[in-house]
Amino acid sequence: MQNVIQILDEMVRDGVIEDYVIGGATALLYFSIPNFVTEDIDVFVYLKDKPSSTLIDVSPLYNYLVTRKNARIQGDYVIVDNFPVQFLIPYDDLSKEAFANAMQVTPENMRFKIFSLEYSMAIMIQLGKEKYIERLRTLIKHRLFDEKKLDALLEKFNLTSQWLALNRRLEANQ
Amino acid sequence: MIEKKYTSAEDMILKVKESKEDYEKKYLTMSFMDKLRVLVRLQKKAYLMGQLKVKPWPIEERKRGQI
Repeated sequence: MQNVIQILDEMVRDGVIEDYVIGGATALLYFSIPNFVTEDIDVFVYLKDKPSSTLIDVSPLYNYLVTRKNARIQGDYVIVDNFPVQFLIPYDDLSKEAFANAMQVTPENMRFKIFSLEYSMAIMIQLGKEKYIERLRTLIKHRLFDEKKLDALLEKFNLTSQWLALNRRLEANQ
Repeated sequence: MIEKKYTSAEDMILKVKESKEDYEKKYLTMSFMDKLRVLVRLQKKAYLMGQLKVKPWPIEERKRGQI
């Protein structure tokens, strides 16, 4: 993991990406209980060269990793130091704001940015995938999040109705 | 010391719930790297059961009894 962070930092220094933030299950793990399985590390990045069209070319990123860091491409993942990494560009207002408000963490000699818990939750609520239900249940059960912050985010991004529906579902399954 | 025996099904369910609570509390206070190690253990199980398409992450486990 340390090597992956080091490589991501080098990508920033070498001008391949502008910045990166870790999201998905890896970010969630920082706050929650390891009671879920994930395959990959989701890394949100902004590329250094701003695209002139809406189509974003990620090939410089892949080329850099393959030629300079011995990475290999496997399906949707780039295998970096034997870790499957999925590179994502912030794709909507919520993920862009999550990126801009990412928090820095320093676990055991590492330093990187992750999506804050409330943004991670808002993204899970927005995507509504089945696998997120159990992850949200744990967070609700242990009151691990700032309710006011989450409510404000959900209202801002019109996700309150999804959240209420999800809560009803969780209550029904208790 | 005489070990407490379960007196009813409800008693047994309560005991299971209590140990789940203890388990979750223990895991909440873990360091990020230790949480990653637990995640990798779950990945290994899932990989053996064919539920994971990629190999588990190369994070070394602690020696038995360390977590």
